Formats: sequence, structure tokens, C-alpha cells
Amino acid sequence: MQVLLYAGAIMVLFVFVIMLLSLRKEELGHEHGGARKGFAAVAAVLVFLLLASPAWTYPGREGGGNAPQPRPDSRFGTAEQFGATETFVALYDDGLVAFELVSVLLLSALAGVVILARKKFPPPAGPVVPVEKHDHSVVPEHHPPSGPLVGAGGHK
Amino acid sequence: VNIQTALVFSAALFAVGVYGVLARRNLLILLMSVELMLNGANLAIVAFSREMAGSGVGNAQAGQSLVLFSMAVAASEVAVGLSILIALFRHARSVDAASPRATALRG
Repeated sequence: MQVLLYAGAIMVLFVFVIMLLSLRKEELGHEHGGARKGFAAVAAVLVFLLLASPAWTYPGREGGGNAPQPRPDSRFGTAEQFGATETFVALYDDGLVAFELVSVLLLSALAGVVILARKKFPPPAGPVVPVEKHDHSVVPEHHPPSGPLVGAGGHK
Repeated sequence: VNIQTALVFSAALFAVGVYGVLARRNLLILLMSVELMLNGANLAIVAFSREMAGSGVGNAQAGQSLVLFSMAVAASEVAVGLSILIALFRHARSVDAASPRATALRG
């Protein structure tokens, strides 16, 4: 179920945006150098060790292999145990307020996306825009003189 | 699959996310790495929920419902993040986090 939600909602969004941008080589920018990558690798290994270290001392492994281990429910996560009925009873019973709030959240996210993804920046003249000296203007009303106005002015 | 395996795997997911955030500059990959870290945490929640339900403490639905909600929040977060990325890309013509026009947003 979680896999379904994730594949449906998030991966499709990522794939769609990657397709939409259809990046060229120069739009990808430059990556960090080797030193930064090495530092990142060391940091990631440290984080992994920090997070995974409790797993080896977690109770259930102590006392040798004969200690009574908590038996995970073998039906966990399957449709039998976590089927539609029980899931939605749990969702609608305990999490009713949260469930409704999620719908409000998704609606506000939708509205935010529509506002953000509106075409308000005119496309620059060339494929790569050289940076002007005093280019602090990131307001949408900033139009380069050579750029054709496509869809501008729709915001307020 | 016992809980140790799940915890190690979730820590590995989180560490890969940390590496991605630190080592890359492509904004799309940064966003994906943040999602990877979130999924590592979600996996740990589900693993502990399964363990608790197996030993009779708590019910099995609680952890999974929590993760379901967290994924709904993640979905809206990704939607807003990607639309910010698109707006930034329209402005900067680059998905580089340190491209000159993107860092002009620092103000």
C-alpha cells in the first residue's frame, strides 16, 4: 500500500519533472570536486554507523540464539492482516481528524503548486544567461529587454 | 526478515541520502536524497511497529497508519519542492544549486 502511494504520487512527479525540464548538458551545472565527495562519503559512513549500531545490540539478539525472540506477525503488511477493512477502520477511527487534515494539506499543496509553477518569468534570450553585474532582481516583474514576453503578467 | 536487517537497511538508506545531499549539486538529486532519508526513517518506524505488534505491545495498524500519513505529507512536500524547482529553473536556466542566478536568490 505504501509502495503504491509512493510509486503513484512521488516517483511519477519526479519522472514527470525530469521529462518536463529535458535538461541540456550546460543546464546540469557542475558537481562538487573529489574532496567534497570524499568528505560526503566519510560523513555518510559515520551516519550509517551511528544509526545502524543499535541494531546489533537490540534486545532479542541477546542471550544467544535460544532466547525467546518476539515473533513478528508473519501476516504483517499483507492484505490479510492489513487489508482494506482494518486499515480504513484504523484510519477512520483513530486518525479521522488527521485523515481530514491530510486532505486539506493536499489541497493547499495543490494550490501552492499552481501558484508557484505559473509562468511568470519570461524566458531569457539565450540558452545560458550571463549574469549581470547588479543582478539582484529576482522579482517576476524583471523583464530582460530582449526576451519575448510569454505568458507574463498573469500574476496579479 | 528480522528487525536488525530492517534497521540496518533503513540506516543504509539514510546514509545514502546524506551522501547525496552532501556530494551533489543537482537540485533534483538533492530532493531525491532528502526523500531517501525520509524513507529510511519511515522504514525504521514500520520495522519497530512490526516488532511491537509481534511481541503483543501496541497494534499493528498504528505504525503503518503513521507512515501512511507521513508519506502523504511527503507527497505534498515533493509537489511543492518540485514546483519551486521548476520556477527556479525558469529563472536560472540551470538545476545547479550553486549556479550564479540561483544563488542570487540569497538576496
